[in-house]
Formats: sequence, structure tokens, C-alpha cells
Amino acid sequence: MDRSRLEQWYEAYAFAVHRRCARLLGSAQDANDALQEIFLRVHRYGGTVRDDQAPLPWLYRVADRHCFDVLDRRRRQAPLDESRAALARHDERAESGDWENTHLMAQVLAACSDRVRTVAVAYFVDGLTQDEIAEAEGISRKTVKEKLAQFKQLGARLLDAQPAMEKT
Amino acid sequence: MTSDPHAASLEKHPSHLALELWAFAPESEPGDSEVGTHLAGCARCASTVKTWREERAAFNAQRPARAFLESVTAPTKEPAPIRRIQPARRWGLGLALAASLLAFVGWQARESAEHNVVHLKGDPGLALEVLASRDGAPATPAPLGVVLGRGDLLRFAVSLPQEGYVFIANVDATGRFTRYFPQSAQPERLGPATRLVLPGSIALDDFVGDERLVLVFSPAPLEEARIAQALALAYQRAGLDGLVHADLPASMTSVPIRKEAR
Repeated sequence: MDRSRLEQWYEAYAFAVHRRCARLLGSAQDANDALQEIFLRVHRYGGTVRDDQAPLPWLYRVADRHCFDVLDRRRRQAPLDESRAALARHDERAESGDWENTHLMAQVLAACSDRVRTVAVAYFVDGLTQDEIAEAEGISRKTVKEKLAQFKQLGARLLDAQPAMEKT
Repeated sequence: MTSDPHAASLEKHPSHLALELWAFAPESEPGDSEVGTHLAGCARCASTVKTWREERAAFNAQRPARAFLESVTAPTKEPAPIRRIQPARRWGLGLALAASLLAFVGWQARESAEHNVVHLKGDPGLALEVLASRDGAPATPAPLGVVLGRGDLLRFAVSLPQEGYVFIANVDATGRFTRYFPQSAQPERLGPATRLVLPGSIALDDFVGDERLVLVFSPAPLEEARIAQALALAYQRAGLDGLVHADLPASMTSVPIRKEAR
């Protein structure tokens, strides 16, 4: 992609991409790194986006893929107990059921499979309905429901680990 | 954003994604007409869009595109020399290169090979390569002894024999420590890799003199403070040459660079 088009994309979408990465990764600092990686890919592969294709959904897919990779690396690095401890600390501050909180979102996403992540992000971040997600992902509404249930169960399980940890 | 993105859909508002597509689309590109119609009659969604656009303007003002993209585009260009050599200087340069080569070979006999790609003695799989870019020119491997200046951009490529944590620091002739990688304080597990170009680039400051880039590669993450302290002690003991002997549970290697005023 040429430099002038890259600048146009940056000025139009960098803020949105950065904000999404900050939510998925739970860290503005990590979002800075992510933004650089994503625009490196835009520079290399942005030319493959058709003129009639909206850039933002394409950028979000690149951002999601990158963030999921970062979350996978985190999962390999951080023992589960650390994730639980972070969730437990979060739980003291957060309102019950507040799935918006970026830190909690990042912690639960880190523990999920890619399929669950994709559905959870579409539902909790993009605000799509279950029907819209089913259509976009080419899966049944029942599957969407199952994936969302898995996401919630995983979050609840990680939060419930707090009392057990305190005893040990 | 509201705490529940589905509160909107229950009230027949557009999804967050639809609003974002509208809010961040360039003015030249028409958005979804349904969203436009909705925004005309919904103060809440219109206010959300307005807030996002104001936040984007603030973001762009804080992080101008040109400065950001400089670091993104520099490393992806095809390699080329930093400086073009005048034909008249080629003979002189050839002699100088021959002398340098002799000195280099002699020096190499004393110490492990240290070039633009530096391998750690006893650990041939570990290497640090420095790539430099000047005035928007393509990033190229920086030869040993290359003279750099303020504003030059550096990137790093590493070869890693196994998975581990990479930390790259710069120590100048006054002993001042600066972290170059990772860019955030969070350690990042990498490798193994034969040649991995690390994300991000470093714009050099106006310090003039000798500096040393130190690669610290450890099987477990090391805190920055610990690395800084160990390098400071090593520097006090033996100056820049002693940095690679810092007391750390890690493999280390270093690359000397010299900076002059531009």
C-alpha cells in the first residue's frame, strides 16, 4: 500500500483499531505495540483490500487475529493461577456482570479457544446479535449460543477460583 | 461505549460495529443509509458518534500519522546501502576497507566474531543483527563500526536457539541504560527462530559517542530493574566491554555503535 493511502487509513482508523486492541488485550501499552504490528501488515497486505470493501472490518479481523496470538502467548507464559489471581483482583473492583471491563475481557479471552473468542468479541465488543453472528460466521444460532455460554462459564469459573486460592 | 452493547439493539439502535463503521468512515465514503437515518433521530447514538470522532481527533493529534508510519514503513523496504559511495573515493575506500579487514581479522582472533550479526561464543544459535535507516532510506544491516546520528532509526533481528525472553538495552558511554526491546515493560516469549525481525524501531537521540547494544536472552522472564542493575554493576567494573559479563541468568551478546553529530 502506498504511503499516502496508509496515512489516510491511519488517520481514519488507527484510533478505532487501537481502542479495540486495548479492549481485547486489557492494556493500552500492549495496544500500542499491536497498532504498530497491524499497520505493518496493512503496509504489506492492505493493497489486497478491494476498493468496494470497507476497510474497518478488514482491519478488525487483522487486529483480532493479532490480539488472539498475543493472548495465546500470554496463556503459555502465565500460569493459570496468575490469571485467576488477576481475575480475583479485578472482581473486587468490578461491578457484577460487567463484561465491558477490558481487563476481565482480556483474561477470559486468553483462556478461550479461537472459535469462542470470535463469537464473544462479535457479541460483547461489536454488539452484534446472535443471529447476526451466526450469519457472519456461517454457523448456527445454537452454536453461537453454546460458544457464548462457554465464554461466560469460563469467566465464572476463573472468578470462582478466588476462594479456593485464598485457602491454599 | 455503554456497559452492555446489547442494550442498544434491544431498543432498535444500530450495533456498536455499525455505529463505528459510520463514525470512522472517511467523509468521502457514504455510510449505511439506515444508520444515517437512525442517527438523525437519535440523540444518544449521535452523541456517541460525536464523542468517538472527538476522541479520534485527539488520538491523531497526539500520535501524528507521519511519525508513526515512519517506524512502520522503514523496515519493509528493500535493503540498500545507507550511503552511496562517490566513484572517486572508491580506491581510497578500498584501501581503508582492506586495512579495516586486517584489523578486523586480528580482532576476531581475540574475541568471538562480532559483525553486524553477532553470535555469542559457545551459543552459535544466538545472534543480534542491527538494521539502520536514515532520512527515510531503506533499513539495511549496519556494519560493525557504522557511524550513526540523531534521528537514525534502528531495528533489530535476532536468531534464537530456543524459546526464551529477549531484552535489548542500550548503554551509552556515561553508563546510561535505555530499554529498546520489548517496547512495553511486559516480557515477551519468543523463538526459536533463525532470523526474527523484532517489531518496532528506535529513533536515536542526540547523544554523541560510543554506545553498546546488549542482547539479554533468558529462559525465564527477567525484570527490567534487575537487568538494569546488573548492567550498571558490570559497567562500573569494566565499562562497555564488560556489559556482557553482567551477573544475570542469561546468555548475552553486544554490538558496539558510535554516534556522531549530524
